[in-house]
Amino acid sequence: MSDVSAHTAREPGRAERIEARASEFLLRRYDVGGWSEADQAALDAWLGETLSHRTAYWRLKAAWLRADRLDALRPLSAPVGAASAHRAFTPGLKLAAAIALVALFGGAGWLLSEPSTQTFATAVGERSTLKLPDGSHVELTTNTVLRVARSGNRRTVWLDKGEAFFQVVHDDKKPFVIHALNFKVVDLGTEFSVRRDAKQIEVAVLEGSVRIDPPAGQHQSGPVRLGVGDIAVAHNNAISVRRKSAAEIADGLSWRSGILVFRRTPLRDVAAEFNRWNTEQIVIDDPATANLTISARLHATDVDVFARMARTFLGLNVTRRGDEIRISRSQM
Amino acid sequence: MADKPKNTFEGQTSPVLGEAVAMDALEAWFVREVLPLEAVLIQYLSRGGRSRTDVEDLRQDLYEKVCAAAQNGIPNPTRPFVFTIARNLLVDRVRHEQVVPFDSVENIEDLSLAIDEPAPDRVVIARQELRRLQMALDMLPERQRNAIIMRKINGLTIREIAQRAGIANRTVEEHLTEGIRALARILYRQSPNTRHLP
Repeated sequence: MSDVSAHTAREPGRAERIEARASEFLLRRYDVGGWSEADQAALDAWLGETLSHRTAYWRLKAAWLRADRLDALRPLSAPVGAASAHRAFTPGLKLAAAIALVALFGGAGWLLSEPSTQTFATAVGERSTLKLPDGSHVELTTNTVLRVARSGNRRTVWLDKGEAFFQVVHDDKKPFVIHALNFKVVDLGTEFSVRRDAKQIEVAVLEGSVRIDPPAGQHQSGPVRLGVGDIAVAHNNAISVRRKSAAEIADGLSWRSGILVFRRTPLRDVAAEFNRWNTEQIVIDDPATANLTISARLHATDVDVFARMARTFLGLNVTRRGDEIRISRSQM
Repeated sequence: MADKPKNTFEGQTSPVLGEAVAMDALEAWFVREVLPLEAVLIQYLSRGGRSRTDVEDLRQDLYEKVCAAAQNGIPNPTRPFVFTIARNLLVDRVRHEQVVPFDSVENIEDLSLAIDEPAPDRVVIARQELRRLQMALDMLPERQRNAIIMRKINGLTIREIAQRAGIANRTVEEHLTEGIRALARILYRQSPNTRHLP
């Protein structure tokens, strides 16, 4: 516990020592497994020593068993991560799949207007990994369209829609440039994601650094350089940068394994995120409900778990009609 | 108390004094009636700028005295019973302390007023409970939180958590035991009436 090192000089109090012991018993009994008669006897003996051992044990036990309720947030399918682990980094197959998908998106106008690019796209709920000729990897999230310049001298891609994670093989002489809206995101040796929404782009840096170039002459901001942990939001007038912890950045990129992580996220944003991933669309009826915040880790394509959670734990009305899941306050 | 506690009985009975209350009944009462008072009790015990360690030790003593007294018969109502013992404990403590904390024994009745409210219905309780648990999770240090999420939500064993996080089993156990204590502290310190809605 390096983050509390400043307090280590403090003598632990009596209550603290008793609680430490009580929590060890609790964990061994309920979580470690293999609880034996000898273990039970040891616990009984300790509890029998003084009532204060009992009260400490009862108190912690009640809290720990209360937390069992959290298990209803568990996704219906396999444990987190297992389901999609095999999908990562099979570039060849994914490339083929992506190309096949482009065929489905046959009407895409860019193919006609800019013949020098190749288009890759994912359907709603799909993810896909591309390996580019220079060795760089690009992972596309749900409902994303990315074009790659065919020309061998340029390393340029256009993010026309959605979000992608880039692992770029850096080359000073051939900058890797992503166009999104009218911004350019320039790799400076790095791993990062770029997300494009209707009016803004968001860039999150997992490793190395990148630069955002706003459109020349018409933007209040100059180029902005981002380092590890930076998340930048760039829109019409400004580029704002926040520094996040590695864990937070990783949370935001957990879609790479098919998981969405929410921390105190308003239901409105949770719904919007699920709606990117699923053809079933969540609609929230009233602002009070939309403002409720939740923390959870959920499979991106498992709307059912989310719906069940909303019903069971938030006590909300969940009704389904066709592809629409309507969530509202329950009438009381 | 009419309802039968479903928790299994832990350990043997303590030395019997007259009509002693069974341990499982005592536990059920303690969890149901006394623990919800913790937020207010801590507020009371903290007056006069006591250190956190002192306050926790006082709380520990208080619970012991409360349960010892309740062994002779579960009190009804609980609150005045607990607060009387709390006040006596503080008076006793103040008498023995060299420096008397200012404002240490005063208007305990004011505090007990703060937690009276009609019981909300079941749906609201379930919703508040989840919100309280999630807020508590949010307030935990990262490592404890992650360990608890993997254990309670993802249902992983301690060994699986250790493998996934690339740390020793023992370390996972430490995060979890620390997490249990921190979780209890947070859960019992949130006033049941605190509204978490924006």
